[in-house]
Amino acid sequence: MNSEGRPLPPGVQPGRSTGERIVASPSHQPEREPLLDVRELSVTFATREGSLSAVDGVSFQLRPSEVLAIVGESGSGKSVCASTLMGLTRGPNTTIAGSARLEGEELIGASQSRLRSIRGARLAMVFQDPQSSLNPVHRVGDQIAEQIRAHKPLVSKAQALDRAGELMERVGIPRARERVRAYPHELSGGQRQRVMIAMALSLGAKVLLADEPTTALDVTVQAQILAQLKDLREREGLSIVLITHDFAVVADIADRIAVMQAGKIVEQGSAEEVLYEPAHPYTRELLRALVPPTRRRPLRPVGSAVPEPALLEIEDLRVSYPGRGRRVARVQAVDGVSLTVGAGETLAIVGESGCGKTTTLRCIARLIEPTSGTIRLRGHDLARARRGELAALRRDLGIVFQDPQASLNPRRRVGATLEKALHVRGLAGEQARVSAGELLERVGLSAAQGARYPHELSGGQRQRVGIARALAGTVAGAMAGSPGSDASPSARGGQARGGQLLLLDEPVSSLDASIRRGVIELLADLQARLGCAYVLVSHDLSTVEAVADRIAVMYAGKIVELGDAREVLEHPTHPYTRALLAACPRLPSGVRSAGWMDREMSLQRDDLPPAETSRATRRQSFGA
Amino acid sequence: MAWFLARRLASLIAVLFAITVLTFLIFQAIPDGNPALRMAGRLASPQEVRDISRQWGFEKPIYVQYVKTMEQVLDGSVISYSQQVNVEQEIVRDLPPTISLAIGAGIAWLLFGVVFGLLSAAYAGRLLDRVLTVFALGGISMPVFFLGAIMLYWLGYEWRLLPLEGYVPLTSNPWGWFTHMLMPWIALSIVSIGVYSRVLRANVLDTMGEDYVRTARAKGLSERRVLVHHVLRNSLMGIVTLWGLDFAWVIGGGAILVESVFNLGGVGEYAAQSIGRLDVPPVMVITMLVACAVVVLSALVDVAYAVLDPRVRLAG
Repeated sequence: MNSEGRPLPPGVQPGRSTGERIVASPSHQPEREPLLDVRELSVTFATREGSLSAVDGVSFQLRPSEVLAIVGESGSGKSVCASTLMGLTRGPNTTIAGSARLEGEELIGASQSRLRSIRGARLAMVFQDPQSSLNPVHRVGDQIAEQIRAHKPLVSKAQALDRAGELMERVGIPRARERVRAYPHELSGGQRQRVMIAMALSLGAKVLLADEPTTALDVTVQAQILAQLKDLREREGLSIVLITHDFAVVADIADRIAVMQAGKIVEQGSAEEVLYEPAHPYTRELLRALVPPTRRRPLRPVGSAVPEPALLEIEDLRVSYPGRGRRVARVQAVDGVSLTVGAGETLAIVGESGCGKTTTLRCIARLIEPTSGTIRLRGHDLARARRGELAALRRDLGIVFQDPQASLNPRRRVGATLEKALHVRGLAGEQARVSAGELLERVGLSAAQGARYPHELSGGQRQRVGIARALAGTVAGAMAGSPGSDASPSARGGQARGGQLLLLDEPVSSLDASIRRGVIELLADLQARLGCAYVLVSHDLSTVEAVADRIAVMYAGKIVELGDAREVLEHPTHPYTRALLAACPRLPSGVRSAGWMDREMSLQRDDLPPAETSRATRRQSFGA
Repeated sequence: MAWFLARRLASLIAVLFAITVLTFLIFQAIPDGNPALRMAGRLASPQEVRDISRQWGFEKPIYVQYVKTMEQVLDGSVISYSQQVNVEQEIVRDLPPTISLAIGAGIAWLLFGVVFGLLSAAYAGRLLDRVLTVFALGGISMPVFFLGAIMLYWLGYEWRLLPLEGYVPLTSNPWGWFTHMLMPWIALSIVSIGVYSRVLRANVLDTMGEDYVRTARAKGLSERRVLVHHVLRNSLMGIVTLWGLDFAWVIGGGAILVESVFNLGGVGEYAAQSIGRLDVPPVMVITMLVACAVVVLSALVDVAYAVLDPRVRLAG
């Protein structure tokens, strides 16, 4: 059990009324009053389709200087739970029941003015996206000072600003005293989140509700922020409720973990218990989703050359934008990138936000005009192609975007979206309709689902439609080549046209972990059957590990390391690659090799589609 | 800032050139537009018409006429065809009532539009919101001449609370100026208050869904502070643009109905009379005035943007 990390704490108590396991942290007396005591909390929203129970009888306790992680996927009610504790869930259609006591004081049903004096002063919250959570038009110091003065009206503005600088220093913002006068857009993402934490701490709140505090940040920044939270817990005895969808994030920091599904806590216990001996099938599913799927095909032997002839060759690609203001130098988004991609291989480009990976990908599709350099697809220069030629070249390209919700036309049935993609590639009418159905089946959906609108599909299904659209070239190319032929898809799409190139821009990062896996498997499967090549852009190393043949690591517009996937992941040479790998949150290896995991990983996994469907219906009722 | 001003000045010159050429050409294209015929009167002989043509230069090519007119416009000596008086003096005489109208009404519709819009959004769906919505829609659909006539009858004639018509210069009698302008201000701003409060209500409701508003509430701020300090400032952008354009429109004589109902004798009335007489020089000058007002006010709007939102930079 304790093969890695902390020893299993003593004093595992049998469950109380709700049957969950309650574990006392070793550093505190078990009889000590919990700081935050939530019992049978329920939040119900009245919608047109009837009432929707977002939080359904949730109970948990938070003891002093303890980190409780609430883990669940989108729609599980974990965020609603937090905003209810803050008194921010309200409105005529909301019913809240149950009890939540902060240091003995009841929060549910307390008056607005009472709640206002508690919010920010004794119970503080940090949100997911620090960019949108800070008001863009006010200086960060003023935003912190404002909170101090809202609770302590006698403090002068100057004193409050002084304190803001102190707080920003404490949470590790360099040159904090000057940065007090900075606007949010002048800070980096990590610094903005530190400002949010400083704000939360400004009045000495004992309980911090952190709702996905690192999800919007790069992995290296995520590691720093988590370390900061840990440090605050250890040095200042801060108690934290950490809400997240990612077990890997909490593995290192949580004392206790509660797993939420569909508004209920399905499992609760010490971190060790939940991670190493998960009792509930849903917990196991979430944990399993973090282990990269086994590869369908073996990696190419290390050191082997790119298959000839190369499908895509990029040479010295540069993209620059004029800087803001006249005297500012041009921004080099992509700074001399050279790459080759062979037919049927997967090249992954990894790096942090702003490193130029997505810009590079978009240049390949000419969605962004390169400043200089060549991009040759099967020998034809895309970068300089004229309109007609470009259209012809683009038929062999497919692009899958990060957010399937945003990249599908919401007012068009998905079948029509696919027909449009086929139409561009020379198929029309009945032929296009049939092929659209074929494409849907190819990505694991049914042809009948073509009649649906994007909002009637789940996130995973939408991304499958996105992939089907990117694959339109394979069907259309085959049809044009040999109408009515009955050859296998790979022979049709692959040989006749020399292979398709799919550009995948963070194809799974907006999906829940359990759905992610299915999409990754689909991509691997399609590659094996159709022989298409992928250029994958991702910041998530477990996705990359699962599908990439070769990895290019980008940093500040340049490729700093390029090599075979295994080589780069196991023996990184560039310091930046090492930092990136070190920062990537992973489950402790003990969890990955736990007995139950081995048994279940070897079983056939057919349980994904129903899980997605149930989530789809839930989403729909939320959207109404 | 210097760069910003230089660019704006360049665009002003370009706009003025384009707009004057267009105006001039439009009057050339109007059928029966020969000003010499009208100036000579109904009973004039062909010889008289030719004399007038020669005297005013109407027989010269269009571009020569354009350049000559523009020269006169720029050195302030341009004479109108119909009354043969100096156009610029006329406009200088007509500007004070128009500017008084624009400034007073502009302040009124901005202030009340923002207050009503904010209240409407804060009480969205409740009684106050519904009442304000009814008033806003009523204001938007109220014809100015109808409202003006009603006010003149009751406030001016029946109850004798306010003077009936005309303009009193601010410099000669400030109180008289104020009382004379009050009804025109109300008549002009009622429509805009309705529009502005609706636009602001929608913007405020949008902004209320932003994450930083949730943060502001999570900080324990009072609802009023959240609304005024965090929501309002981020909602003002659309209003500011609208205000700049509307203000320029009034300066350029757009409020002609109000000007004539209350007999203020402003730029709008002069423009309408000149167009009726196909009198090119005044129309040219007034068009240029509108163009200047629009360019200057949109520059001011851009400055206001930069003040409201630090992410906007003027040099960009």
